[in-house]
Amino acid sequence: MLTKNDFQIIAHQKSAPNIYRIVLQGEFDYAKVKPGCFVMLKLPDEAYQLRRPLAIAACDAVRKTITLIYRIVGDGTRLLSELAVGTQLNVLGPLGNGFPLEKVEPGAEVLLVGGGTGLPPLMLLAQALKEKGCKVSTAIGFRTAAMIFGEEEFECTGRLLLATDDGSKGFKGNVGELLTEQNSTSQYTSVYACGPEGLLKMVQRHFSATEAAIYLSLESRMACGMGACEACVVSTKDGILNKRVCVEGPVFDGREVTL
Amino acid sequence: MMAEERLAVELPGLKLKNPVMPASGCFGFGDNRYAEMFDLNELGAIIIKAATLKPRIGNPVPRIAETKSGVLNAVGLQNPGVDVILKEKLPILHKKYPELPVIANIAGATQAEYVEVAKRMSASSMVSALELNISCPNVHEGGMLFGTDPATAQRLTKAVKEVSKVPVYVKLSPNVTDIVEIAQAVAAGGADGLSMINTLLGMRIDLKTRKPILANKTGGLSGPGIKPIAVRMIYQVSRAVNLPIIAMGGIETADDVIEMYLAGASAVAIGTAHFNNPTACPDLIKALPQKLDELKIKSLGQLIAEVRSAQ
Ligand SMILES: Cc1cc2nc3c(=O)[nH]c(=O)nc-3n(C[C@H](O)[C@H](O)[C@H](O)COP(=O)(O)OP(=O)(O)OC[C@H]3O[C@@H](n4cnc5c(N)ncnc54)[C@H](O)[C@@H]3O)c2cc1C
Ligand SMILES: Cc1cc2nc3c(=O)[nH]c(=O)nc-3n(C[C@H](O)[C@H](O)[C@H](O)COP(=O)(O)O)c2cc1C
Ligand code: FES
Repeated sequence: MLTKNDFQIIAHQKSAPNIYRIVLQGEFDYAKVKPGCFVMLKLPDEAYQLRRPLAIAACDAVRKTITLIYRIVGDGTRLLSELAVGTQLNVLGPLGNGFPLEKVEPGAEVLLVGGGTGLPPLMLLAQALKEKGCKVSTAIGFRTAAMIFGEEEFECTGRLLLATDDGSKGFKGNVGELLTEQNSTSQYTSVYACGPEGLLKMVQRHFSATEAAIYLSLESRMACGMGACEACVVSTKDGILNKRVCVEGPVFDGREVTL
Repeated sequence: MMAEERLAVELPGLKLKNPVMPASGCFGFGDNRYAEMFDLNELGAIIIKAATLKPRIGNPVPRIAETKSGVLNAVGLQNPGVDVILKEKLPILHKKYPELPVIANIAGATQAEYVEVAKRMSASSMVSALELNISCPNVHEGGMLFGTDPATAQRLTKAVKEVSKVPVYVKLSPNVTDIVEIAQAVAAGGADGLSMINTLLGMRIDLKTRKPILANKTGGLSGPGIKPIAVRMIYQVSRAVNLPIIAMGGIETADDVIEMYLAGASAVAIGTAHFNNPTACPDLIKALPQKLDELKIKSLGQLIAEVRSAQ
């Protein structure tokens, strides 16, 4: 069931420059949460008319908590970062279709590719794929070592391939260059990616000639999150903007969607 | 008086158990996830997304930008076309909610297109009234152009009235110098009622890219920021034209609803408020009886009569 309930902030801290991790406790349909699903947070200021979509990075149905990780990019996320533990936040969700986990076999070698604020949904995904018995590799990129977050999460779910633009940690270059250097495109049965458009396009280019299934999680400016307003549309092969990121997405078949 | 009856209002073609309906473009054709959060039967009526003759793919993205106390949208009347709506969308809605009155918003690039859409849409037994959208700021031909010139607006209203089998509410654009003049023109064209207001033309510019945020550059401003404009326009128009008005523009609370009635409205539509609060409509319907008690108002019907006689 889809709900909009008040959750309480039970932890909130900075995990890298401009990156915050927030843990919210409250009631919603935990059974419906799949990796790639997101929530929409109502900002506690009447001047904001739009909820902010954020992916679920971790989820605990027993303690009734969800973890979100976000970057400050504008006024809304800045306001969010100032909220103290104990504050109530209204959470609409769970939303979105998530990554199709049922299509991957235990033992399969899978690759996760992420950058920037695309990492949070991949954290939940890496966990789920590991639990399913998949061999998980994760390739993630940052500008510089000081910006890195999520390293621990991905290290404990499998192999971590780390790139920094300036080479201050891991491979020097971007994730695309790292994958090219590794020259290991053919071993993966599924590739999952979330991050900036450039990274998603790179994944499409890199893997479209392989057998691997490609799943991309997209971002789009949203208003309703309910499939009603047509604000968040993306186009599939036919070039028509007819798929709504909030209901048909945010995860799409990487061979279908046009970026 | 029963709570139910206190909220009931009657408008041409519409016997509403309460005056609250989702505004066009903010609720699709009812084919969305709102139905998972409340029973659409609670609504007074539903105003569906604009229909055009042929399918429209809408504008490029981004289609939405936020402003303080408002939202800019440039969706661009994306819809599958009147025939698909009649064949596929409305039957599903009607089957699930046979008692829910449907107001069909119609748009076009030419008078001939409006007339054809009106003819097909109004012939359906599933449609109780038309909302003639002469005010969309997000399309490059037709749309708002029909709503900014009195003579054109009058001609179009007359042509649509001639073919429509159901009452026609003309949705007015606030992007005019004198809204009263347009309201009088569509009244002379035979309109059965008015819907007001549509969005105000606006723009936001991204400081980093130095370009407008919306791909369409301009968009329509909605939300609480435009409510005073809606109140003022409804107040002016209701004094000049004797037609029932469906009010919209930033309505969020029961107080806002009563304010619209005091300006001269007969029913209300809710758009932007859904984005923060997906149950905005049923919440309002629940809150209204208490607000009426508080203000010692017997019923909405009586409030309409009192406001009209004081004008
Ligand atoms: C499905 C989905 C999942 C997301 N998950 C995460 C996540 O886990 N972590 C994270 O840091 N960010 C995530 N984002 C992006 C996040 O929603 C935006 O960064 C955030 O809304 C910006 O709000 P703001 O008020 O700070 O920025 P402003 O620029 O002031 O916001 C203005 C408006 O634009 C919208 N907007 C701005 N940037 C984006 C964007 N990149 N994507 C969508 N809408 C945007 C805002 O929601 C708001 O409506 C996700 C987006 C989507 C669609
Ligand atoms: C996303 C969006 C889409 C809209 N689409 C339509 C439309 O298709 N036809 C129409 O007549 N009005 C459309 N409108 C205008 C609304 O119906 C309403 O007149 C306006 O938003 C003011 O009400 P509000 O402040 O409650 O949103 C749209 C508004 C929004 C925000
Ligand atoms: S945000 Fe409204 S349809 Fe997706």
